[in-house]
Amino acid sequence: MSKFDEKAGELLNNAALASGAFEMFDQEKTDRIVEEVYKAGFNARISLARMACEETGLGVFEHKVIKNVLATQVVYEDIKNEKTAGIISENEHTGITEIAQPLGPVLAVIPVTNPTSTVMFKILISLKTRNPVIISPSPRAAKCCSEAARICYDAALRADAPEYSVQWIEEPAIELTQALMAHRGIAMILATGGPGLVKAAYSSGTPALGVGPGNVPVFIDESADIPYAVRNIILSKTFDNGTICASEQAIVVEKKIADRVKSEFEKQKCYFLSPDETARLEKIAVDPKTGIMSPAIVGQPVAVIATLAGISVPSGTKIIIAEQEGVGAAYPLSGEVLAPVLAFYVREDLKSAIKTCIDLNYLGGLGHTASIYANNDERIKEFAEIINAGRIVVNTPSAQGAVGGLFNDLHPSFTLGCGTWGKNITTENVTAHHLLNIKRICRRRDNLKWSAFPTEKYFDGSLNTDDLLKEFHKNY
Amino acid sequence: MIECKIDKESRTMLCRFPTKKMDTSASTEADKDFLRSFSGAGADNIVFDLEGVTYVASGFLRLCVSAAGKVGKGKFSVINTDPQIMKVYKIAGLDSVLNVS
Repeated sequence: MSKFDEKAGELLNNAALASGAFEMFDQEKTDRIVEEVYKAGFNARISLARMACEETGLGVFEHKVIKNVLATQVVYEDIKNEKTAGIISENEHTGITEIAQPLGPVLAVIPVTNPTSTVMFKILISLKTRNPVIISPSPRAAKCCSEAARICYDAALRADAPEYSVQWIEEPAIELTQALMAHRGIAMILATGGPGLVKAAYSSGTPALGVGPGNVPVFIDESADIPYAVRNIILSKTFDNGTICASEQAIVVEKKIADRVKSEFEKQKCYFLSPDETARLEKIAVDPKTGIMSPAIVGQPVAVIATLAGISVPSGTKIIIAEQEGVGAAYPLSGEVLAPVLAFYVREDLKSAIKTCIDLNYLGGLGHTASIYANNDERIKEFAEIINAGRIVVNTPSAQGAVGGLFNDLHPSFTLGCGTWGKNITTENVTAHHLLNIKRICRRRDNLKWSAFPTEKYFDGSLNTDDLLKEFHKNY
Repeated sequence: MIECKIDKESRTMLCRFPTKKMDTSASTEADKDFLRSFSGAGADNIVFDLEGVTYVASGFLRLCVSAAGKVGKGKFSVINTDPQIMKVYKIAGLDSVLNVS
């Protein structure tokens, strides 16, 4: 047995004790713990944001604070009244009573891009459902994640949570994460991270809720309020330097409004690269071997990216934009880049523009998020019908819109399901109700049609479907 | 059902589909007509122009695969697809092998 297997076993033995103790907790006691933890996390929002920025070197301090607020205050408001312990619904008519049971120990894998916020989010939804949770952070964010977990755990203990209800790995290692994923004691993996990590989670044999990669196309329709659209795109794409996977990746417009959109971006301090500058950016933004974005530019401000690329941009530039002809491997910036960088497509007509959005969607963002700016509901529906995304956000900054709770009534979440398109099992924003086993008491309520129907007729080969259904649906 | 013209210089056969709804029956007819047009036409390239086509059945996809097989990889294209039709090719995994645009 390796030292990683031993460590995994130790963590899981502890988690099993917590699972046992949680069985005895009712809704009131559970909710008290969740409230205490949310308050502690909320109170630490600033210090944790500072730690996350310093340790990871990614993003914007103020935006990390907002993410921590979203993960505590907004998530708490969303889940606080949800029934998650014991009987959660009773229906006299159907005779069905639903009883919520915990899943068991949850392994929460945390990405470097949203570290402390994702820790607090996953702890809150796990404790709300009486599941012990083990935090497995990115090695690049181990300290801040451990501190976030410690703050939450101390608060949970103050509210009489079971010992070991929150555990964390202070020195992360891929081997330990793998050992935990495959351990029979883990009930569920909450996998937020890159495609490799999510695939490992799904391949481990343990049930997993993962996320797929994003590559968010934004279609600005001719009916859109262009200055408003540009303002919202900037608000989203600059948020935490573009580290949210639901942030915009490519703007797609019809030729007839392209000049207006471009000049509005320029007016609002975005910079369009020349072809030569685009080529320089491509070299440092995307690994030519894998086609995946370079870690060096993830979550970095425009000034740093421009320096790395050897490009001179006007001071105060918010986003750099590269005009692209096509989509695919030959156009590196057509893929996901979690930084204040956008691809820009001008298409002859509506049909071509929507087809480009489909191409972008299929290139690497299937099931994740798409965005449209329009004041034409038919156009919005047409777009939504055709794009395979779990969230189609309308006239909304897509990063903040997709995570929910701020600009719409989606459940606030740091784990955005991408459906089978993204190799996930849900397209929903993952939240507390995904961490429950629901038992159903099914009282007898006879199907009266079935009772009245002479079932021997099913054995009469001379009766066709219409004859049988007519008899089955007969009003007695 | 299907109207095919050969450009002798480029040895390209361009086919259009006046029947906008290429359901199973229309696809079967188109298949027969296509074979008749292709036979002896001397085409090295085939282009299916789907301008105005709003529906394709699986039989039509089969026709595309079969036509592509006659001229070889990279010499068959589907052009002017509606977004919805393009998505059908993507879901079927045919967009890259058939040069769909």
